[in-house]
Amino acid sequence: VIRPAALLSLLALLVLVAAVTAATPRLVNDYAVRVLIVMCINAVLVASMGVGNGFTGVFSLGHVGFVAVGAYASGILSLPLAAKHAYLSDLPHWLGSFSLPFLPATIVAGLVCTALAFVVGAPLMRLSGYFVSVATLGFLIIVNVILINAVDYTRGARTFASVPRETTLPWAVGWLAVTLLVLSRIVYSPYGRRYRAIREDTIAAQAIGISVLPTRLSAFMVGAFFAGVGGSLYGHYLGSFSPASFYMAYTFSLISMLVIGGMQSLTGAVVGVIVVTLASEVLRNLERGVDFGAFSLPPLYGASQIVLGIIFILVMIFRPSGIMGDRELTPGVLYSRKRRLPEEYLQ
Amino acid sequence: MNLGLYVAQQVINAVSLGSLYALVAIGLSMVFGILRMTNFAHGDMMMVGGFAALVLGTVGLPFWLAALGGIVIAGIAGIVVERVAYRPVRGSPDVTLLLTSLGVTYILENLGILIFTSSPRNFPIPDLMNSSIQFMDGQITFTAINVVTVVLTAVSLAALGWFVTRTDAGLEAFVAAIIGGFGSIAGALVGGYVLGALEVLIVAFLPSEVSPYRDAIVFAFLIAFLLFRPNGLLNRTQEVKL
Repeated sequence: VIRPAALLSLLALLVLVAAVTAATPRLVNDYAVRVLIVMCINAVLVASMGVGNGFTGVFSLGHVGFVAVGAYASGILSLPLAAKHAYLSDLPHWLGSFSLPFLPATIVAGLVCTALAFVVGAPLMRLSGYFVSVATLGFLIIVNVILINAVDYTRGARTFASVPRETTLPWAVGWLAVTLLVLSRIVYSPYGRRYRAIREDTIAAQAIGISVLPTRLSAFMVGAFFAGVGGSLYGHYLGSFSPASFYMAYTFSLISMLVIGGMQSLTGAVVGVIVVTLASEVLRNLERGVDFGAFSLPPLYGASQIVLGIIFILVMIFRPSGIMGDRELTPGVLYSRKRRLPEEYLQ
Repeated sequence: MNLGLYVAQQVINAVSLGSLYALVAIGLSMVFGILRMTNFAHGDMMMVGGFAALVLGTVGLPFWLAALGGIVIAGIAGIVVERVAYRPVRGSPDVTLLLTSLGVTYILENLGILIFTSSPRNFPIPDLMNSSIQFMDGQITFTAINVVTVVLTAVSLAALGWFVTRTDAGLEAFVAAIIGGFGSIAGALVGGYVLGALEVLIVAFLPSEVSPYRDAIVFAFLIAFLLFRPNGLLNRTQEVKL
């Protein structure tokens, strides 16, 4: 019903955007490019969060913990040697003596997060419902405390700076395309069907022979890999960051994108990022104050977040499955009639 | 210093901190018992109460009235949040409830920042509550507000117990929450004091290099509890309905 190539049209669109921006640097200003890069990075993070949170229904609040680990791991690996000596003189010798290029540093960051997800997920993925949310929130807090205290590696609460700013638009789009392709291959494979089976009815899924822990753990690890990749992209986009960059505020921001777009769909992740980013960019401009001649709005800094929070609650009340629900934007939607699962498969 | 006195001082610290936690945890547990919702916005309700009292104090109300007013305003805020956000999603899946309360947290926090900015405020309390009480030539010290906290916790608990067991409204409200029931309130109380004791223990008795990791240790304990004793210290088994 939903083919592995489901997101091809979306990918084509992304490539088109990248090609246009690459070909016409004069036409697209810096602001738009920066917004697009951040959108691509957020889409990597939200889509990877959706695999565990949406498709297996294990709602983790700890995704940003992996993003933080990815940003710091890749940052430590790719920091130029001179900066390493200046900032991180207490690094162990083997880490301080080399500097990796952007791509391998990003992949290693993803792998570090995958390994961490295995260690953390092996116990935590036994939990469900509130318990797993609260426990993964604990994971996020523990990561934050460790990053602040591991001064030799992270400079503690101070800014981790001098990371080469290498996340250009083509890199961001490329990684987003890879992420969506890999994730759609996984979640719409026969194995990925287990994710949704566990979400819909854990006991029935167990009864037909699906073991819950390895299935959930695999989704958690895949999500963590791309969280690490996204963290690396974000770190190499910002150039400087601190543990506070990857904490509660960013968690809520990503969750609102995931939930508003629809967490049971990869297209939903992308749609959520687009909608929330556009809404917050517009609101951010409005909160500087608006003058309509007849009446004017005074500047209200921070009001945009409040409006976003209200939109979020309205979505929870009126459309809890988000804009896309569990639908994907497939090439088929464009030219043939809607194809959906017969009712009896959904029961 | 005499070890016995040192321990006594730490026990006092633990009881005082634990009372504060217990007071917060009881509210959290009541909401969970009745709505089956992990209310992330509970801490923000504390913020509402605190800042309301601060504002009332600034406009000239005496401290006691301002504190009372803060409590009332926090209560009203609770009613508004329940009507506007929580009631419409009642009966939804766990995740929806959790996310709704997360949204409320986000709104209240940013509202707080918008109105009061994010820089910390000094909360003036009467000198009487700030005065320190000393025993054994100053070897055991605590401030009067610690006593107030402990006493208020005890009084609130007694009042809650009376409301639940002796009034019709209380009975009605808690028949629905019989699963959570009073057991979970006792659990919240125990949890509050255990957490208070744990934090004091970490700061007072472990090497000082460990102290910065306090939050990490507390949350590691939390995760361990979720894994090994998911029904809490006062063990109650949960039925899984097919």
